[in-house]
Amino acid sequence: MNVVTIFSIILFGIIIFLIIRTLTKSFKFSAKNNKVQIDNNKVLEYKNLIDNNKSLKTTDKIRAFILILLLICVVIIIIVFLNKINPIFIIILTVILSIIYIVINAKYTKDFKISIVSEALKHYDANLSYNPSLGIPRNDYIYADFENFDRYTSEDLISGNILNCPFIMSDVKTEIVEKDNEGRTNYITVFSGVVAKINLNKNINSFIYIINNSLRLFDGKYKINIDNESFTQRYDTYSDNEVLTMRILTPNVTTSILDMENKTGIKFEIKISNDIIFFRFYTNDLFDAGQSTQKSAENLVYSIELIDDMKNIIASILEVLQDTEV
Amino acid sequence: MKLYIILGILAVIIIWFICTLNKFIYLRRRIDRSKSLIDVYLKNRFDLIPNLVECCKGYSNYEKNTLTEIAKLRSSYEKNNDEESGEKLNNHYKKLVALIENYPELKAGENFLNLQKNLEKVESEIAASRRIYINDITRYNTLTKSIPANIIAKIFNYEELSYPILETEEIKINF
Repeated sequence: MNVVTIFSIILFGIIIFLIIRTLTKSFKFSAKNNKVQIDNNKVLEYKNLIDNNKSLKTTDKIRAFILILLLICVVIIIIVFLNKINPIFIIILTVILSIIYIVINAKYTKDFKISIVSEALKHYDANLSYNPSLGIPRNDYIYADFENFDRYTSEDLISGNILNCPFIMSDVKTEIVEKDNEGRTNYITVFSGVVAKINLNKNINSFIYIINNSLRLFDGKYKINIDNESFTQRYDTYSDNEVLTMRILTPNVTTSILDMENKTGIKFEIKISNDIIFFRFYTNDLFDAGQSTQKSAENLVYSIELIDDMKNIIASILEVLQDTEV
Repeated sequence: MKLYIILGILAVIIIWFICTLNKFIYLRRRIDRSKSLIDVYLKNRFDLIPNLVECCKGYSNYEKNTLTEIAKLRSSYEKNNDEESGEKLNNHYKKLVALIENYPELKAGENFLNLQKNLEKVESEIAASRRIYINDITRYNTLTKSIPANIIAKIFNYEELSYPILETEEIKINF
């Protein structure tokens, strides 16, 4: 086997991987969260929003065209291999097309986030704004005390007010750094998902931690039994103040938490620490551009519905907190 | 080999026995604890009665009897701390809360507003502690009825418990 053949095989593998990855990424939401019921009218609404953006539409068309060319190149590579023809020309072409595709796809994602997501969020709630280059500050995440980590990255910040409470939400990734026996550094992802932080107008001087029990292996200290069987079957609750937890986790609140999981199919944690509520969702990045306008619109609806469901939980907690002295 | 199997089975049974018995002990202790938690919050409720009576004095000339009766019942409850006087005091407390609804001028006072907040808090705490108590009893009762834990319940006389008395019911503060 000569060098060109080996190089062709590697390139072929990379292209197949890229295509599969791109296609599966756009279907991630529907595949992973098969319980999600997406409102078709809303999808249509956001699809129109994307279609009306001419520059984005052009980028999308170019992107689709290059993807088709790449697929043709793959077929040609196979044919060239089978006929033992020198594949150098087609390899160079495929490499160039792959680079162009990656650049155009990145441009599409960036444009989508800047123009469409901001508009969609304003459309949902005028109080919310979006900045793809910012994220939840590291110190805020440390305050939540979810886990220990060495590296922290956060982007796609949504900020504003929800029910008159300051609110921020963004994609977060935490990693720990480990060195193996040969001295190589490995980065192990501890958490990758979405985190939201809401400042309450009341300090509970305590903590309440609600976690989906599939995310936890062992019972920890301060476990509390909530008097809602369907809730305890799915969630573990921890707190240093049992009475306060029972006051806050009224049947209304527990039902809204269960409703959110039923609706979105996402596993999540809620942590109330003094005057702050943290939500941590084990999901893909929100507001990602899909491989088609339809998928991008679905992702938008999905992301906004997640915020809306979270709003319902916050509303039911705030109702309890506002009604009584803590 | 057979001996090891028998010993293994015996070890499993003994471990299960100890664990289940400990669970019974733990749940009974929890029930006692949550019952005393209710008592603490009930005491807080009754501790607010003198303030409530004081607030009402100036306004409710017609209900003087009720106020005097409540004051008597409270001292009797503090002396005896029994269920009967607690229930009587509770009934009068409910009456007093209902009476306040008739005095809009009383509800506007700053002292009363503070008192109202405290009353709401204590009622919410009673409701929460009552839920904890009922939940603990439910868990315990479920264990006494479930197979094979009911064998241990019978051996050690862990009988099914009844649910809490009316005294602990939450009173809605909607002044």
